[in-house]
Amino acid sequence: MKKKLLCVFMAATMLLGMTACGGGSDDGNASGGSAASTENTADALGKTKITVYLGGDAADENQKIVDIYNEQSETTEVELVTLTEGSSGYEMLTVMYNAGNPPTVYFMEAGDVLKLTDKLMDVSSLEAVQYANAGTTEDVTVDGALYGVPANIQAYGLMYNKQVLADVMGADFDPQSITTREQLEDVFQKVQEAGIAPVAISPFDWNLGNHWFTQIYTGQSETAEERDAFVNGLKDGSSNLVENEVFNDYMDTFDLLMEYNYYKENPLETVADGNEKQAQLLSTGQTAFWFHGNWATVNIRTLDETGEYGFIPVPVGEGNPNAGKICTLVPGYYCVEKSTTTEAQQQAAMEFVNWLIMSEEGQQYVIDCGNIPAYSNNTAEITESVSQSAVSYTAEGKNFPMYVKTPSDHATNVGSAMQKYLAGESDRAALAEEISVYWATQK
Amino acid sequence: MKKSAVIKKICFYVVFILLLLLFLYPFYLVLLNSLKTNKEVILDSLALPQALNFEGYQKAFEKMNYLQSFGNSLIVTSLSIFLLVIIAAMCAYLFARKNWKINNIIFMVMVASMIIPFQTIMIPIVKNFSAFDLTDNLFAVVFFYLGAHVSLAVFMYHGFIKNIPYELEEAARIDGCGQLGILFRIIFPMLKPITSTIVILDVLAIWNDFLLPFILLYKNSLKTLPLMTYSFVGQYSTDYSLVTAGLVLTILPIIILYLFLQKQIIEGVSQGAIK
Amino acid sequence: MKSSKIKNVVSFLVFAGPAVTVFFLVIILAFINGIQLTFTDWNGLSDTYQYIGFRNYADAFADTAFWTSLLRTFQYVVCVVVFTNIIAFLIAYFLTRGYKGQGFFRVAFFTPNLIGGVILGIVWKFVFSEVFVQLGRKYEIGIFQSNWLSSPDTAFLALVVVAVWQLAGYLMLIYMAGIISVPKDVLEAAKLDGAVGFRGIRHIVLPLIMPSITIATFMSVKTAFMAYDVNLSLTNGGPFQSTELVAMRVYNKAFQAEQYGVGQTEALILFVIVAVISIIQVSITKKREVEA
Repeated sequence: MKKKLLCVFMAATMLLGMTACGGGSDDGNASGGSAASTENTADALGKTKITVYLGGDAADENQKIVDIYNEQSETTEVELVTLTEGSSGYEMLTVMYNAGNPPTVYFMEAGDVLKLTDKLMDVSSLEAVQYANAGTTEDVTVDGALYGVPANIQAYGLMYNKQVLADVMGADFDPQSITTREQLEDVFQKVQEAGIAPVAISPFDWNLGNHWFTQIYTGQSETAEERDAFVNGLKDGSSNLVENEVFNDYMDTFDLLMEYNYYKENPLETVADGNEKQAQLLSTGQTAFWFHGNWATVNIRTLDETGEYGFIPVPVGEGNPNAGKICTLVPGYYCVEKSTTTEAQQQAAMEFVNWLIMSEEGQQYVIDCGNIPAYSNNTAEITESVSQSAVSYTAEGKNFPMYVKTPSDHATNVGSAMQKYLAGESDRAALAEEISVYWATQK
Repeated sequence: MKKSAVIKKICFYVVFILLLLLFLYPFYLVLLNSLKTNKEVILDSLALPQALNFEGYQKAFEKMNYLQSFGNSLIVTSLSIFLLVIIAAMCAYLFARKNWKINNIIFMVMVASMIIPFQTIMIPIVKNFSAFDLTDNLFAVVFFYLGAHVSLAVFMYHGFIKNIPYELEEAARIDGCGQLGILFRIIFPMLKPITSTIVILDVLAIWNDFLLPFILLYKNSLKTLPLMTYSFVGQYSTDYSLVTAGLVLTILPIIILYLFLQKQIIEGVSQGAIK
Repeated sequence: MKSSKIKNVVSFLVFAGPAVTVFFLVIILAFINGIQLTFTDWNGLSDTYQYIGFRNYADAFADTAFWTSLLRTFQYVVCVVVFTNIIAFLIAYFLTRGYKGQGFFRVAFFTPNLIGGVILGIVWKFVFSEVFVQLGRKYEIGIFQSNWLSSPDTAFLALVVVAVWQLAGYLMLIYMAGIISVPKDVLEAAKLDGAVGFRGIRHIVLPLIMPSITIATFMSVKTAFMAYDVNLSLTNGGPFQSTELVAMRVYNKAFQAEQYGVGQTEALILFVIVAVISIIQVSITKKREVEA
């Protein structure tokens, strides 16, 4: 009996081995599979099956919106998938492409979308596109083709706890009156005298490298061309960082934040943690300010359901085009896959994306996830004070877009240089030098 | 003499109980926090829960599709181990007994292959498997584990078989036993200690493996337990109470299994000592 | 003569065939494909790529960050291998001496191995940044006053601690199997000859368990060189990339910096280095086995 079993198994292994060897020669191109097999794309009821990756932290909301769609759609069945490996999901997407099995619709950052353009549908024909806010589609437009539609908007700046400021500065204090470094330092001092740490700096590389440092790129000019020119100058060595006015302007403000940092004793204390530590400091009133963005609402609301929070712009010099503005970014775009999908799936995917933006349920979904809508036709009411504060800036055009045309290892490299500066291991000249060297290696 | 033995004994227990606390403390923390609400965890992770909160467990059980993922893990692990032990023992037996050039070369290649970083063959593996439509297939995962773990198992069996005297086989051969018969009737029972070690180590490696199932299995209905846990942890990373409950649910079956297997392994090891 | 050759081929196919087939199809095939990719400019995603000769190799040798992290990895490997083996052996030694409850201790010390690396990293991160800091502040223990993960040296130490903590229980089992198989009468005889305590360990026990030492050292060298999971979830290479071990460096090069070919090449260089070290280590310890 044992012998027989063994023989069967061995024969099977050999057979598998032979078929594998026989087919192993056509390895010329790199993509794993071609079009998805048709039997998988439609179920018994004739519904078209698509898979969707929606990104973000709100797992329950994601499932809910997909369930709503499946309930009402007669032609499409949507399955939710997750890409948890890696922060942006891009690494996992690479693997899935190699397996010939990427999601039909996926959420990706602008930089990653640009690497995928030859695999993506042009979605400019979607009805929703006309409602997209100004400045939210340019980053993923190449030669007139649009490779994704913005999912939502996020904003960052100096977040404050309204109650703490009211306690220290008086109930009628308007945080928006802080526009210069001197005024900020004045408030910081008063907060400190009240026994509260004025500000918290999250020491993560993505926060320092991408959120703080890219302000220096955007601060170079009002126009996208001149910003690009500055960054290109960093690559070829023609832009001088250490003598750059905007660089020094932003670093002066950074020095001020460092001086009044909650973590002044050990600035990298929470470097290995998530942002929940600082969310806790802000929501429990242990600090008054925090350089961060509205995505932290999730953490804050776990601890404090009712408190009011808002943004003020990072104070910089008067000549700085970013002065008086908060930074906004599109965290991700919904893209429609075309290289492995059938036409029916592409059609279904386009319909789903459009529904996600245009329908009442889809508009509410953006709000429920704690995000800010990226479309002018979104009429859902914003109840979150952090988002309300952000919208009060964007409605008046007091926002500048985050610079996203950075390589994917920008956060790691520029972020570590900033961490050294924050920890006092390097000075401004060394920081400028390290970042210049990084850019010089980029082609 | 007697007094020093007592002192020794006391030292032993003091040192080992301290070590024990050090080893088990992290597990205690996970268990503790799984019974709290998320707010309690964030505010003070060391404090005892104000009231036992099993909500996290209930939600984690549902969201992780627990029974199904558990079943998938069970199928993959048990089938892999069963086949692995057989093919590795056969291969190691041949390599240990026949000093052929090809055997030595393959053995060296196998030993060397154990230090290939998985990340470097990850993409080629995905490409090869998908070229034969072997993604979303539990048996493909089993096939991979056979290939990936066979070298270590052969290596361990090889060292063990070499120490078994050849004379034992001679006697059996005179009795008219074939080579396969000798292996499975005479040698294999003697390999019990090392087999238990291989089984337990590979059960752990395969049961806990994340990256491979992650890149080969996409359908929720096929996902293994750690895979569901990781995507669950990824999705709810800000809800510590839920995450820790998910971790406990994942760890629990392996601890139970381990307590059971531990008995076998100690028996096996002491049997090896008697020989 | 001929028939015996056929018989040999048949017995090779029957005995080694299944194992060798799966091994080659899964690992070696992928490894060869991987080598092939080191000669291309593939970015990990595009449908086409060009062969570019040895340019990736030139880039890899010029990549100072890679060599820095390799050097750091060497330090890490030495620390982990030495501490893990000593601790594992001592635990195994004392747990085979017949004290009451040793079965329970055995079970307990092995427990860290029940859980995958990423999860362990998450758990330990929690311990380092919450528990230790809280304890340090409460009882004013100097070394715990600041988060270990917040400065390069202590973060490195934290990586070593977690690796030792996890691996020691694993190696303990290997050493225990070896120690138990040492015949009791040999130990008794040695005791009568006055070989007790550390002298007994060095001259009697260690030589007799050389096979265990071979396996345990090999496992720890290999595990330490390949460390990725805990590195990722505990420090993620930080602060400022000071704890980026080589496996993580290679992975990031391939996927983050989108230089798949260079990453793959660096991985290959790493493989060759580790292979050479392991072969030397195994042959040295194996030789001692024969002598003993």
